[in-house]
Amino acid sequence: MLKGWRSTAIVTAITLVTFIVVPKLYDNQFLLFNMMMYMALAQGLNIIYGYTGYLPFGYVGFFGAGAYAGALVIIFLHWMPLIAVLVGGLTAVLFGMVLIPLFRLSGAYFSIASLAASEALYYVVANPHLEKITQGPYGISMPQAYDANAAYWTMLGILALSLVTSGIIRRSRFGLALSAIRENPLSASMSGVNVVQMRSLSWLLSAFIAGLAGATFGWYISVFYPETVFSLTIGVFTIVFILFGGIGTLIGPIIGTLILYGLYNYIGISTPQYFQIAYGLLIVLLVLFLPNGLVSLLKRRGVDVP
Amino acid sequence: MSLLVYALLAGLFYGLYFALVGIGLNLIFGVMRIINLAHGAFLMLGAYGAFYLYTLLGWNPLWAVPIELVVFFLLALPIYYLLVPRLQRSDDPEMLSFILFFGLSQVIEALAVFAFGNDQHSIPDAVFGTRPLHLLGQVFPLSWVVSAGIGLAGIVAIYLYLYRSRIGRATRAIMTDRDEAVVTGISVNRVSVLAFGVGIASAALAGIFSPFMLGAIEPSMGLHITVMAFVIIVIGSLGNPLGTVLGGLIFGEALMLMQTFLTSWAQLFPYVLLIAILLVKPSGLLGRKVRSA
Amino acid sequence: MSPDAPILEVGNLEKSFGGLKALNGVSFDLHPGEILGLAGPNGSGKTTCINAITGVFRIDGGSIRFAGEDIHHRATYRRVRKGINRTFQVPRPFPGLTVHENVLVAAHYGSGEHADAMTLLEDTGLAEFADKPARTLNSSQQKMLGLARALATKPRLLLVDEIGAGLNPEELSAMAQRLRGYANQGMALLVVEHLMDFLDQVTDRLVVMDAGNTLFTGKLAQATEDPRVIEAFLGG
Repeated sequence: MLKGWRSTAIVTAITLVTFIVVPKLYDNQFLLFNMMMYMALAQGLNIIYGYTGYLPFGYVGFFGAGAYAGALVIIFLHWMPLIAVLVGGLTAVLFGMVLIPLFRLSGAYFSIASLAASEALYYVVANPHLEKITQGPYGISMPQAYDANAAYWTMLGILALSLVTSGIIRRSRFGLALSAIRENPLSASMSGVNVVQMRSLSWLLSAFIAGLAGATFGWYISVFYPETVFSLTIGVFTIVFILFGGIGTLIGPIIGTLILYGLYNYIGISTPQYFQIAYGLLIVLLVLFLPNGLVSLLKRRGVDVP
Repeated sequence: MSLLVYALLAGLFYGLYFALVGIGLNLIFGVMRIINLAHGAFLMLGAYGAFYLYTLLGWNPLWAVPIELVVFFLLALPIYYLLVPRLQRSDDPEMLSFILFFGLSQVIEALAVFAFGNDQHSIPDAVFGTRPLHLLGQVFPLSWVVSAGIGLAGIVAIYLYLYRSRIGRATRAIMTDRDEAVVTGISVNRVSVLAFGVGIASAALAGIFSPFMLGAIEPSMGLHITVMAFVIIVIGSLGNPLGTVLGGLIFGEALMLMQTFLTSWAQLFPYVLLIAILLVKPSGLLGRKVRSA
Repeated sequence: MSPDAPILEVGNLEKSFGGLKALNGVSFDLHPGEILGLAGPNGSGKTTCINAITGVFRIDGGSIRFAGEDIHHRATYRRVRKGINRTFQVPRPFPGLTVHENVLVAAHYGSGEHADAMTLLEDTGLAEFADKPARTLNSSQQKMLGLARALATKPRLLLVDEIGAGLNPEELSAMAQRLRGYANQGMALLVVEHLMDFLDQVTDRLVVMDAGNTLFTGKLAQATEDPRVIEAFLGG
C-alpha cells in the first residue's frame, strides 16, 4: 500500500511540474491548457467509469453546464471568475444530483440516457426562447473577464485536484468499495457497502471536476457557443483517451491524453478526418485486442501501475 | 382542429418511417446483444447512395431500394466476421460493442467526408411527382406517403422473415434465450450474420428516404439519428423488433404534435421522452421484465 | 432482550413475482447458537427466503425481526452491519479483485469492529491465494471465499445457501464440523440444503418448505417419516 502511495504522489508531482515548466519553453498556451483540461476530464471520467463501471456518454453535459453557469454569473452578477468557476462546478453537481435516478439503469441504457440528458440540456441552453438568459444559439461573449494566464493557472489547480482525488480514491477504502460495486453490486451490499451512496458520491465528484473544467474553459476562451461546450467530441475524446491509456488507473488517463491529444494536435487540426479515422480505428482495435489499455501491457509484466 | 388532424396524420406517416429507422438496430440488439452505434452512419451511407444515383444517373430513389438492399447486405458480411465473433468472446460484449461501433461510426464518417465532402445535400421532393396527397382535408407531400409506405413494407418483410420462415423461428429462439437456443442445436453464427445483414440493409433503406423525412444529408448526421433510433426502440422495448413499430408510431405522433404546437421545444423532446420512459419503465413499454443490459 | 430470546423471527412471509407466489406464509424462529435446516424441493422458496431476510428485495407481507427489531424495510447493507450475512448458492466473488481484497471490503464496511482479513483467509485455507484475482479460484475455493467474506462482517446470523453441493463426503463432513463450530461460538445459522445426510450432520431441527409454505417444523428424524414431506419430495 505504502509503495502505491509513493508512486501516486510521484506521478501527480511530475505531471503538475511539467505544466508549470513547459509554458516557459513552449508558447502554445492554448494547447497546454487543453491538454490539462483533457487530463482533468479524463480523471473525472475515470472516477465514475474506471472505478464503478458506469460509462456516461453524455459526460460533456457537466462540462457545458459548468461553462454556462460560470459565464452567466460573470455576465449577470459580475462575480469574480474564480468564484464563477466554483459556481460552475457546483452547478454540474446539481445537474448530477438530478440525474441520480439514472443509476436505476445499467450498462448501455445508462450510457444512452446520460447522452440524452446532455443533449436535452444543450437544447434548453440553445433555445432561442431563452435568449434573454443564455443568449440562446448566439452564444456567450464576456471579453471583460478574459485573462488567459489566470485561467491557465486555475486549470492547473483543477488538474491537481482531479489527480489527487483520483489517486486517493484508487488507494483508499472508498476506491476499494467502488471497485466492489463495479464487480458485483449485490455482493458489495452484502459486504456492508452502501452502494447507492458510494456510487452517487463518485458520480458527483466526477461531475464537479467536469463542471470546474467547463467553467474554466469558458473563462479562457471567453467567447463560445452552446455547441462549443456541449460538443459530443469533448466527451468522446475523453472516453477514448482513458480507454487508450487504461481505465481504473491514475497514470493510464495521463498517458492516453498525452499521446492522443498530442497526436491530434500534430495531425488532427489541419485535416480532422485523418485523425477521426485514426481514432476510430484505434477504438476498434483497442476494444478487440487491448480492452484494458496501454497500462495493461505493464500490468501483464507484473508492474504495480499507479 | 384541422391543425390537430394534420399533426396526427403526419405523425402516422412519420411513425411508420421511424419504425423502419429503428428496426434494424433492434434486430441486431435482440439477436447479438450488440448496440450498433454505427447504425446512423450506415443510414447516412444509404442516403448518399440514393443521392448519387439520383444526381449522377438521374434514377428515382425507388430504384435505389433493391440495389442498396443487396449492396448493404453484402457489405455487412465482412464487417460481421471481422468484429462480432471476437467481440462476443470478450468480458462484456454489450458495453464494449457500444464503444467499438462508435469507433466504426467515426471511421465511416471520416471516409464519407473524404468521399462526399462536408456540404449538405438533398433530393427534391418532386422526384415522386408534383401532385400532393389530399387526405381528410389536409395536404401532404407525396414523399412522406412513399416513405411511410416503404417503412410499412420493410416492417412487413421483417415480420415475414421472423414469423414465417424457418430461420426466423431460430432467430426468435435466440432472442428469447440464447443459451437454450444453442443447446437445441441452432447455428447462432448463421442466424446472427443474417440478422446483422438485414439490420444494416434496413438502415440503408431508411437512409434512402431520409432526405425527405429527416432533412439535408451530411456525413456527420449519423450520431443523432442513432440516438433517435435508440429512443424509438427503447420506447417499444429493446430486443423486441415488432415493439419498434409501436415505438415508431408513438415517437412520430409525439414529435409531430410537438412540432405543430410547441415548435421551439421539439428538438428537446426525443431526449426527454427517452429519459422519462427509461425511468418509469426501464424495460420499455412492451418489455416484460427488467433485464440488466 | 433475554438470553434465550430468538435472534431471528420470521412470520408469515409473503412475496410474489408477477403472478407467481414465491413465498406464501413462511414462519420460523432461530435462536443464538442454533442451527436450523431449511429443506424443500426445487422452487419451494428456500433461496427466496434467504433473499427476503437479507433484503435483496422487499417482502409483500409478513414480518422479519432480527434481535427484536423489525428490519423488513432496511437496506441490505444495514442488515449486514446489524449482523446478518449469507453465502450464495452460486458464489458471487468480486472476480477482478484479489482474494484478500474480496475479504477486505467486507471487513472494512461490514461491521463496526474490523475483522482481520488475513486470519479469515488462513482459517478458510485461502491464505496462499491472497494476492491472486478471485476469478482464478476454482468453484469450491470460491465457496470458501464467500464464507470468509460473510464472516468478515462478524455476523450473528449466517444464512448458508446450498454450500454442500459439489463437495465430496470428506469435505462435507469438514464443512459440517465448521458450521457446528460457528454455532458453538453463539452464531445462529440457517442452512439451506437438499442433501439430507449433510443436514443430519449439522442439525436435528428442520423446516421443510413446499410451494412457498412451511410444510413441516420439527425434528429431522420425524420429517423423513412425515407423509406430507415425503409427498412433497417424491410426488413433485
